Amino acid sequence: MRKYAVAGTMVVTCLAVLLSMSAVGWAVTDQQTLTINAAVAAKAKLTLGVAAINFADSDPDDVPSIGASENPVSVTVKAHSGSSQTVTLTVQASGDLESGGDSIPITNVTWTASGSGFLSGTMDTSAQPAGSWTGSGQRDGQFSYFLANDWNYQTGSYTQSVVYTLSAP
Amino acid sequence: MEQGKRESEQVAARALQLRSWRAPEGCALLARLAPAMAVVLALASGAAHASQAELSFDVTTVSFPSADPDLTPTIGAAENPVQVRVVVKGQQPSNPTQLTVQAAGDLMSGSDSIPVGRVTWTAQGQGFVSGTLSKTQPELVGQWLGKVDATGQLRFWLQNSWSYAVGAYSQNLVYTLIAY
Repeated sequence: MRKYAVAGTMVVTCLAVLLSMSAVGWAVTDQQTLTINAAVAAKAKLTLGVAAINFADSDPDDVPSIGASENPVSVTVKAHSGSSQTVTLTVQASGDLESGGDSIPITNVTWTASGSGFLSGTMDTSAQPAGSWTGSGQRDGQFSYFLANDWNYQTGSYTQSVVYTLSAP
Repeated sequence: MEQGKRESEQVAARALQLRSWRAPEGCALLARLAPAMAVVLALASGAAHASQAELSFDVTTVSFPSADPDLTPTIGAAENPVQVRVVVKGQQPSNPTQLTVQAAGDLMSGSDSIPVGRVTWTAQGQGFVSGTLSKTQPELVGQWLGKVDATGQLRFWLQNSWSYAVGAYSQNLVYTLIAY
């Protein structure tokens, strides 16, 4: 009787397995793999809110430091860079403020900066740091420019160019 | 005494019969029941299942070129559109077929990554559906009933960003076709 019970159990077990398989249903499958590639190359993009700034004529006693009419000037820095690389912004004047044969030292122009990574400084004919960041991203800031006023300035219309350079290694 | 001996002999003979039957008894029993089991299986399954499922693409690689995020906020793959074909044979009309895709991870370049969820696809062709890649679960790419011979076009798109680090990113996508 015992062996009949064992055999019977085996049969019932097999039937149960087979029935469960039929209930779930067997499936046929196929698989394929696609590989995705994406390239990110170094890029640098600098945007200034204005193309020119102007310092109005003022009484040096009343206005010892003349703020530019366009203050504050928006600046946006965008870069694709290595994740540990330093992105830098510099500014360099092409010379002193000139009006014919008269000049005002460019170092009499300063700026203050707001926004993460943006730096305040003094204009010069050598490159001056204006911002520093690590890795890729978009950074927004503002520069406000000031001219130290002086009774020694000759009358005239002074002008000069300054060049901002953004580097993203 | 004689009768007792004959009875003992008969018992011994039966025991011998049973012992000789023991070794293959399970298999023999199953063999005897096989026809009945076949009937049970046929009744239980009720319908034929798919005998063949084939999935094919016309490319093995999909590439996104570098682009200015301001000018190209969404980058299309250079290989767009990608042709995909699904063939399933031996199906009954009510039996389903599904095509899914799952990414093996984010797009990786060394230790830098771009979330794979930034990659989407649009689909054309009967039964094919659009979607967004995932590394955590299979995403539906297509589904059909019955026999299938479907050709579709998939277009892949990468959301661009200034936050991506410079690099050459890569990842595998596994497409799985299941036909019941």
